[in-house]
Amino acid sequence: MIKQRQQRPVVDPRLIQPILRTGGAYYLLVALLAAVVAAGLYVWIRQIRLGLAVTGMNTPVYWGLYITNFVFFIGVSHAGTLISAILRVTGAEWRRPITRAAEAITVFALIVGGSQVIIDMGRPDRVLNLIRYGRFQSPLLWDVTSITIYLLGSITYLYLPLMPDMAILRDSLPTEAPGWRRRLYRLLALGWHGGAEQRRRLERAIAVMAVLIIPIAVSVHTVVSWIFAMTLRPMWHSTIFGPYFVIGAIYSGIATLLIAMVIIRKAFHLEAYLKPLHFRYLGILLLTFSALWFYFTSAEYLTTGYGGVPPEMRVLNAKLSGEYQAAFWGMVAAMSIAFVVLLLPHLPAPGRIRLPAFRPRFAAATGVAALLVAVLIFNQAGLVTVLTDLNVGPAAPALPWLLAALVALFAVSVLPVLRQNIIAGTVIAAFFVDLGMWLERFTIVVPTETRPMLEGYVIGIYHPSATEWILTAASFAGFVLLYLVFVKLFPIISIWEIREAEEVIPHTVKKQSYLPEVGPMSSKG
Amino acid sequence: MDINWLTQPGSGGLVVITVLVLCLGFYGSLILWIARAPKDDSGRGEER
Repeated sequence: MIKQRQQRPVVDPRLIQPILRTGGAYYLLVALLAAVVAAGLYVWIRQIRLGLAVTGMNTPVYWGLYITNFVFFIGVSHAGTLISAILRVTGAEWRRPITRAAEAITVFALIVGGSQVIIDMGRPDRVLNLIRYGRFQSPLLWDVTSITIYLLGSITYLYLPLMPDMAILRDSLPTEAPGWRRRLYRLLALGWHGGAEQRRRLERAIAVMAVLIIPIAVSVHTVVSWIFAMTLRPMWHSTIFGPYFVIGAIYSGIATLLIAMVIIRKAFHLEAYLKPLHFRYLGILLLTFSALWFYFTSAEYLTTGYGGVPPEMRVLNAKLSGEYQAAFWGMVAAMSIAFVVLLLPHLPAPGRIRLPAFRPRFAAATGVAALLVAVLIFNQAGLVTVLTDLNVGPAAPALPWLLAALVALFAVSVLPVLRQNIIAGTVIAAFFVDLGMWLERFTIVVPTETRPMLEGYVIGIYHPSATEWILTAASFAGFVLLYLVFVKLFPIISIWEIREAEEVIPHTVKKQSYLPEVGPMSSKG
Repeated sequence: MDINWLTQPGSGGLVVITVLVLCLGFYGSLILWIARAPKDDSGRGEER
């Protein structure tokens, strides 16, 4: 329902404070990230001059970290689609404070993800070959087409709900605000006047985009998966890749959104808007997708292992016990930790069993010890050296058990915190999800390339070079930097959607809890 | 109509450019449709 009001509405200053006031920490962080991005630019220019020989890629491993990052970032871009579009279509009113944060993640993840392909090409000018010589039957062409549609759609979907907020800022900026801001908001508001017909058109357009963007997003990551699945390489040529990639994408997207939310909440003091319930509900979604991810992963690997097809078994063994076991089991460990942490708040209370009090030093000690033992176990050469130096060679078989014991002690020591503090638990799980998803992308991309379908070829070797690691760091830094700039220019929480909530949300206790913990931003000034 | 022209070199570029133009046209017209919405007769639309 759209009401017309006579008085100028009041804007909660907390929503525009992040735009108008900037602390020293922000500038420091921007400087740091800009330095990393600059380093990335330097090594990229060097790579263009010297060629891809500066990377670790070589026959037959033609895709390495860059394509891993590409798939990872395109996956993260599904955050906006899920939160903003699917929750909007299903009428989940609790989404309102987080839609813009999610939509911004989508746009910037697509930009950074798309740039990985340009970096991977070595000769960026060759992207024109796609236009000049591209053929319709190429999955790479489908990929470029779908990502183009998705990027433009996501920018539109980010911009549409931004229009009313631009008008609010245009009209509400303090007089001391710089002139360029006023001009920027006036330009982006596109003459927004808030009339009934305009608001009706906006809501209709957002509804249309919400419905459109969902199949577009699904198609994007399905097509990204087909870049691998449409080839005949072992463990790539799989019918499950389409839905597997989409599930993984939404999974990593939610996790990235949770990390962004906790930082925004803390840095800009938006606790009244980004409430524990948002983390709880997103945590439930994350748990659901965690279960789905385990289901798809198990189906994929079980099918491969049971089939026993020799080329596929070579790749599978490389992942399970070969040179890629660290990445594979690291992925499994990260995802398992995330699953357990997400499940904890939903388990019944232990009843008579008293949980131990949280002891930070004990938790830190067991955590670090477990990490060291894990590194030792996976670094076989290092393990042999350490055991030899300590003259405890026979202790080697006991190390996995020691690791298990340390992990169990660590888990028990942090259990009380994770059960009681929904935000901490969900965000910790989100970190592990993103780590696990990046390792999953690496585990999918690289091992298959080292073992071509035909036997008799020498096993490929891939060690990412410093250039690739620096560009990876620069990509992540660039993503965060874009986000920081966005947060400084635009309200990260949609002002008009929060206002609209007060009009449309039913007056039930549960639904009212979705609203911010302040008096309503009424028209009465 | 012979569909085989789609598999010829260069057809892909045509597809990408066509899609780009269609997308820009659709999304752009959506935004302009909103921006050009008439004010109410009373001229006292809610300013936000």
